[in-house]
Amino acid sequence: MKISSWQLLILLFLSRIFIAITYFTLEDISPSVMMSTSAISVATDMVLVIPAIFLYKNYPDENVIISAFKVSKIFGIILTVLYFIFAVFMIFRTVRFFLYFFENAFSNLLPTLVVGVMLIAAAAYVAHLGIEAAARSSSIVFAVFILLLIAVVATTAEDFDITNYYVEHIDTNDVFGGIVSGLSRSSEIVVLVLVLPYLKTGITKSVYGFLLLKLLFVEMIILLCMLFLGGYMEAVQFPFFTVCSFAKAPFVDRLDAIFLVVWTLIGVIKLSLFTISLRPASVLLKPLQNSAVTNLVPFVLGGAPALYFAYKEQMIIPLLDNELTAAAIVLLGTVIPLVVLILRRFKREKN
Amino acid sequence: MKRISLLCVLILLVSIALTGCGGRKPDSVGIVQAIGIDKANDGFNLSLQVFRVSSSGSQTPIDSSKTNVEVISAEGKTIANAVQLCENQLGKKIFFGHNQLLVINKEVEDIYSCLDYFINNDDAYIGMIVAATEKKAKDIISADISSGAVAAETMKKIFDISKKDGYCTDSRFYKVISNYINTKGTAVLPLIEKRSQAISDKSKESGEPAQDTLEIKKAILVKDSKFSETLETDEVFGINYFLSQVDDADMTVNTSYGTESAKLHSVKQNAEITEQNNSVAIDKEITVRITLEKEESKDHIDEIKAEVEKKIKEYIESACKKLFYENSADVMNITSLIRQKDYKLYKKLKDDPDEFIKNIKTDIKVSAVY
Repeated sequence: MKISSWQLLILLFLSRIFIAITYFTLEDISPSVMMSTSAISVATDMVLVIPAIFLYKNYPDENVIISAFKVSKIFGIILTVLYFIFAVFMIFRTVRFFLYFFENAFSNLLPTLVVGVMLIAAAAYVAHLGIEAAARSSSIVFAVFILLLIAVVATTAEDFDITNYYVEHIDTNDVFGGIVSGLSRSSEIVVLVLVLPYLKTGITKSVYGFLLLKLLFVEMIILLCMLFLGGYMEAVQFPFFTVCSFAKAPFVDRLDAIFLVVWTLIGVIKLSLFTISLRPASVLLKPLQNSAVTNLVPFVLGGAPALYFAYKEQMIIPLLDNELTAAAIVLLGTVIPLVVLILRRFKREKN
Repeated sequence: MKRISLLCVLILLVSIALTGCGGRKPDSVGIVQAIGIDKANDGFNLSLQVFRVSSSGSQTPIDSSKTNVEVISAEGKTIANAVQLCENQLGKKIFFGHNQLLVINKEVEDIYSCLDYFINNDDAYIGMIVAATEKKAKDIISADISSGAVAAETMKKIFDISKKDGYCTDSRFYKVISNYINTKGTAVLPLIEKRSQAISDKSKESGEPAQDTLEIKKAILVKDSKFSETLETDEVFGINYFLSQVDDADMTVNTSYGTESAKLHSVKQNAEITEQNNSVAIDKEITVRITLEKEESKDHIDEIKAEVEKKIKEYIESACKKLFYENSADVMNITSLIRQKDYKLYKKLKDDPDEFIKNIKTDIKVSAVY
C-alpha cells in the first residue's frame, strides 16, 4: 500500500503539531525569541532531511533499515533494534505527554489510566489497519484541526492586543537552545527515513511542504497566543489550550472541549505512525514477521511505563525533552541514513 | 471501506468519551457563577455564588423570574483551603469553568495569592471579571438582582456596559494578570458598589423590598500585590480614553449654544516613544468619533469637538498625574509599548520600572471627528 506525497505531508505535520498545540517551554525564553528560533530550527531541519531525500531518490522502495540489510545483515539487525528502541521511546514519551496534559487540563474528567489504555488501544488498531487508513484519517483530522484554528482565531481576534507583539534580538545561546529544543520535538525526521517505501512519488514536495507547513502553523500558534494572552502566557503551561478555553463558538460554549477531541485524534495518528514506520523492515527479521509483534510490542513496551509514571504522577517530560533526544534524532534521522547511503555506494562500486 | 469505518468509530468513541462531563454528573458539581474574597482573621473568607438547578418556589428547573443561585461561604488559610471547605459544605465538587465574576475586598492584603489559585486552576474561566469592593465581597455576590436566571450573568452585563461607557477598565482575569506580569506587579481593578433601590414607584408604594443594583464608577490601583489608591471616575475615563477602549460613552459639554450631549467612540490611537535625557517621552495621538442626537451647524459641531477634545485631554492628564507621577504605576501599557517600539530601551528600563514611569513625559493630542 502506497500513499501520496500530500498524505505523507499531512501525516508528518499532524505528528509534529501534537506538541506545538499544547506544550512549549517558556522558561527564560520569550515568545518573540521562540518565533525566531522556530524559524531557525526549521532551516536546520531542511538540511537534516537531505539524506532521507537522497535515500528515496536512489532506492525508492527501501527505507534506511532495508538499505542497511543490503549492506550487511548485522548492520540491518543493529539498525532494526535501534529504530525499534526509538519507536518504543517515542511511544512512551507521547503517551506520558498526553496523560500529563490530560491530568492537568482535565483532572477529574476520567481516570487517567483508562484514558491512556483507550488511547493506546485506538493507536494500536490504527497501526494494525496500516498506513493507508492512517493517511486517510489524518486528512479528516487535518480538516478538523484547521476548522478549530479558524474558530479560535475568529472568536478571539477582537481581543488581540497589538502592543503584546514585539521583536527581541536573539543571541547565540537562544539559537543553540532553540535548535536543540526544536530538534528534540522533531521525531518526524526519523519517521521519514522509515516510511519512505510507502511513498508513491514526490519526496521533496512532501518533506519541504511539511517543514513549511510546520513553520507556518507553529509561528501562527505562538503569534496567536502572544497577541491574545500577552504576559499571561508566562503564567500558564498550555497557552494554546488556554486560548481555546476562552474562545466561544456559536455551537459550543468553550472550544477547549473541541480542542481535546482534535488533540486526541492527532495523538492516535502520531502514536500509530511509529509502529507503522517499522513495518516495511519487519519482513526481513523473523521475530518481527508476525504483525502482532510489530503492532503491539512497541505499544506495550512504551505504553506500560508511561501508564506507570502517570499513575505515580511523576512528571518526566522535561527529562525527555533535551539534548539527548535531539542527538538521537540527528543520529537516526540524518547520520545513519547518510552512512547507509555511503556504504551502499561503496558496495555498488565494489560489485 | 469497512476498516476505515471501524477506525472512524473507534477514534470517535475515544474522543467522545474525553469530551463530555463523563466523570461529573451535573448534580455532583457545584457550578460557580461568582466568587467573593474577604479578609478573615487568619486567611480568607471565600464566598461562592453557586448555580442551583431549581429555584425556590418555581415549577420549572430554571425560573428566570428568580435567582437560581445560592451563596456559600467558608474561611480558610489559603484559597485552596477555603475551596475545599466549600466543597465539604456543598457536598459537591466545585467547578470554576463558568465563573463570571471575582470580587476582592479592599482589605485583602495579598491580591496575587488570591489570583494565583485561579491561574493554576485549569478549569477557571480566564475571561471572568476581577473587581474590588470597599464593602464585603460576599454582599456584592449575594446582591438580590431580579433580572435574569443567574445573578452573576446580570452582574457581568453591568460590567460590560460600564466598560463600553468608559466607567470600567478592562479587568478580565487574563488581562489583569498579563498587565501584572508585564509591569512587575501593577494592575487596576474596577471598584464595585452595591446600592438598594425600589424597582418602580408602584413597588415603592406597595412596600415591596428594595432590589439591589450594582454600580461601577471608580477603580482601585494594585501595586506590588496590594490595593493602593482609589481612582476617581475622571481618572478611569482617562485610562480608557488613553487605551482607546471607549465604545459608547456619553459626554456632556458646555458650549455657547448651551449644554450638549454627545456620544463618543474610540477610533484609533498612535504612540511614539523617544528617550530624552534619561527619561522616556511618549507622544500619543487619540482619535474619537462624536455622534450627536440631532443635526447641528458646522460652527456648533466644531465647538462641541473642541470641548470634547479639551475634556478628554483633561481626563487623560489627571490619570497620568495620579498613576505615573504620584504612584509610579503603569496600567496604560506603557511598558509593552516601549518593548514593542524600542526593545533596547525596554531592556535598559525594565529592571527599575518605577523610576522610568515616575519620570515619564507625556504629550497627548486628542482629535475628535464627526
